[in-house]
Amino acid sequence: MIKKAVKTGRKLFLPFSLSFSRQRREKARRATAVLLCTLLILSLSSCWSRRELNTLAIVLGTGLDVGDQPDTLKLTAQVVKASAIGSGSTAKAGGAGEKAYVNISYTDKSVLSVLRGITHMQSRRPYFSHNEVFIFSSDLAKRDMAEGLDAFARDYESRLHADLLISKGKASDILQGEAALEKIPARQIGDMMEDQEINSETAVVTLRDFSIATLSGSKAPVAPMIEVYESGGEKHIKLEDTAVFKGGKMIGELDKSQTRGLLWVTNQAKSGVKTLDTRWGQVVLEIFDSNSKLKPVKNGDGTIRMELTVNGDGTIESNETNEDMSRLENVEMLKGLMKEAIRADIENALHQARTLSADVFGFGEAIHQEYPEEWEKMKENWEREFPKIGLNVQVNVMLHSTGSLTEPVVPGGGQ
Amino acid sequence: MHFIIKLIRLFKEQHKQNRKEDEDSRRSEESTQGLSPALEKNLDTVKARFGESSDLIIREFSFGKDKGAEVKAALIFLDGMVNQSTINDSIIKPLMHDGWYFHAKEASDLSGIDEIRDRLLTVGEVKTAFTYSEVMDACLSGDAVLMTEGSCKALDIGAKGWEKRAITEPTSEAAIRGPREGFTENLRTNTSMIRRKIKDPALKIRSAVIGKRTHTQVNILYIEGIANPNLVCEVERRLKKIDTDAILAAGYVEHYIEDAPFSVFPTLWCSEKPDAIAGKLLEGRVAIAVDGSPFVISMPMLFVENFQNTEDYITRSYYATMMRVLRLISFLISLFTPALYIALTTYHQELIPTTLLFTMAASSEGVPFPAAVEMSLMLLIFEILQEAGVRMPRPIGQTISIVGALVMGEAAVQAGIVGAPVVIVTAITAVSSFSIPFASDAISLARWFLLILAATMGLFGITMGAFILLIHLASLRSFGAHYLAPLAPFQKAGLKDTVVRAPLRDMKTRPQEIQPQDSQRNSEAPNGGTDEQGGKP
Repeated sequence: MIKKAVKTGRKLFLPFSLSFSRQRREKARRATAVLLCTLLILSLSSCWSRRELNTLAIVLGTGLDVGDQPDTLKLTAQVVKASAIGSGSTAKAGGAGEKAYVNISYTDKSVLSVLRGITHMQSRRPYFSHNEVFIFSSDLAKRDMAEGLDAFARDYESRLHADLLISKGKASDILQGEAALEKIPARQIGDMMEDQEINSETAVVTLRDFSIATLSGSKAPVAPMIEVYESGGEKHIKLEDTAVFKGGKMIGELDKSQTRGLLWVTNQAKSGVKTLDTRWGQVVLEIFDSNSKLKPVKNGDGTIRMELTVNGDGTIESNETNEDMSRLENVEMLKGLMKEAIRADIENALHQARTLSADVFGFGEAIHQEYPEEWEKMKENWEREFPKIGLNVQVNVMLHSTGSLTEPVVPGGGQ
Repeated sequence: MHFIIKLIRLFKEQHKQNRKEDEDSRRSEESTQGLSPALEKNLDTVKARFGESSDLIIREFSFGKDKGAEVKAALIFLDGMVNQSTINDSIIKPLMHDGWYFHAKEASDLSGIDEIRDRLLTVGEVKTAFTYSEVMDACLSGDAVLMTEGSCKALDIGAKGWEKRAITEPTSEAAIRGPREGFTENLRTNTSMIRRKIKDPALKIRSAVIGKRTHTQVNILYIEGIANPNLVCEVERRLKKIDTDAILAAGYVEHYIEDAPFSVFPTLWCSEKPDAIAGKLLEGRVAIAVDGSPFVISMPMLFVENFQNTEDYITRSYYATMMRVLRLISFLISLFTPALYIALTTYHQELIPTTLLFTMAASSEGVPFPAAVEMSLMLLIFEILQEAGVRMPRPIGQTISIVGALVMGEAAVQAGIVGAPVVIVTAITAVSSFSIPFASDAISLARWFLLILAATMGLFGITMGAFILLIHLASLRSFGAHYLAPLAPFQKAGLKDTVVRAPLRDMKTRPQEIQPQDSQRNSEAPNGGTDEQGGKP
């Protein structure tokens, strides 16, 4: 009985009956195979890209300007000075007054030659993976965006989700601006762009968005503009207006109202503040949770018009009058004013786009998706067709609440 | 050429075997030699065998009728191995007090010594010895041997009683709510502790003696009717194959019977706690207790046992599950963090959040070594500190922690020799590895392997390393059980005691992978039905 169990046991459990030398030889063979595989793996990793942290010049912002010599461009890289920014005991070495960044500029014929050229001046190689903003000067943008854009979009190191901005003056000046709350100006710009959704007055554009818009052919890419202003002897930066591109060149600008109009159409306006002038004074509405829908529709004569539905939700943020705005007729009046304001922004943007004959809204793409056959016909001379496309705007506004007050703080009148 | 070498080897082996056989036969001849009726001669032989051993005590005395007819006797034992009160009160005292009626002639009869055993000795365990080797073995295992003039039999009287450590709280496994007793170095104490937990005649304790010189008692424990008989046979077979002269601790046995002696991962589980071993036995496992070792081995071992703890079954299941998850996380942390740190800081800086990158870059400013060297240095120092802390006597141990923590950590960073993140990573790694003590030695080896791969190939290397480890783990077997079960091969019922610790009332089945004879813990029928006659005999 036990013998039987032993027999089955052998089948069930590890065959120890294998002769030892055979096992050992088998093991040696296996070990050799593993070793060989490991060595072969080493050859698979191709590029030996090991770089220590203290050999990197971490670039946070990049500015591109027109160079002094013809056909050159000037690149300014904002590099973090880690020793000055670090916390803890290492920060003491830096001292309080020291700037946490260095701007390195170099002028050469192409982006890549500039990057290699920087090694003539600095001990560390610029590292672009953490680059947060690309700033092109409008001079360069008006001439040609292609060069700088292509190099960065193509390079594996830089990220496509870095923000793209156009500076009104020199890009290198923007990177010099005073950043009061941050240690590095480029970070300030990068973080600033993340907050833009609460005012819906700036088109936030990443390198990726811009490249996609450029590649689509019909759509006119846009990019936010940034400028330097002086106050109290210090240079500060400010986001203002939007640059419009066509054919890789900057051709015009949208102002604040037009930018918001653009964002309404492209469903990017989510939240913002609108000041309305009523009979009694100013009422400020907060817009939130709004959305819009763009749809091409065929007219009776075969031409195509665009139907835009904007749904805006709002609350009363402040009531500077002494009128009770919770009364139904006042609510209706505010809604009317709100609709008008939104419509005005959109008309404004449309007018500017038609003037520039630049399809900043992406009408072309919408038509391409909805009516591909018609689009084939229009595609060739889209530039001339675009201004003729009609836009019907339908605005729905909801006023949800009057905030945490119903009556004004200073009541009166209206009774 | 090959052939010749083989031939030579064959000859050598033959020669060795011949010599060995000669020796063996000589020894066995000596040992089977029977006792002589002459007490003097017997004592001389015993003395000669033991040589000049100072712990050998031969107490010669006489008892029985008046002078001239009294019985000459001798009690042989090893000092320190016997219980003095047994010797005095239960052997010598009854013989001298109550043996007055004995006559020398009676004693020399064959039945005389049996008379002593049956009527005089007040000791529980008495055997009869016929040969010198039996006498020697009895002495060596702590028994007293009684010889009388004229008899060619001796009595092997169980008087074992040596100094032993009391049952204390185990040092390697702390308990919060579980039982606090731990195994001792005494085999019988250990088996009795398990016996006290499982009061079932089905708990079988089979004995074996291993080690040509040490003659170490090894006990195989299992529960008949639960443990798979094939498993018990296999354990016995592997134990029988052990060919060595010394077994000094349970670890020795482990090395001889484990499935994967070349793996860094343990394929045998061991514990210092009787409740843990009792739990394993009740799951259908087999345990091996080795005399002289406070650790009892249990087999087969599954990888998940690294993350299980006896406390898990005592605390409530939500908390126990959280602890399991924590242990799993800390396993991953202690295995991968140093490698990940190296890979991220030297190859994939783009994966580090920007602000964190600044801090890391700042602390690596002015550090003289590459990150991989830094990391290796700190890990090396940690291993040294750990080893030193374990080996050092307690009072010095404190000095080590002060020197280690303050000098190595704080001062090294202050002096700019290593970066602060490296110290933090080392600390996290160390702390995490302590939360899974059983696997920590395997982890610390695998960690170096991954570290080297990360330093040469970055994340690619880590991925490769992780795959190699996973393939290795999946290929391991412990007494026929797949090491990664119940995850691979996947067994749904086993998951109740893997990452999640289901409530005990839901854990009705024993681990499927170790193929218990009776797979059901409760009295339900094995197929899950609730019929009346479900109870198993």
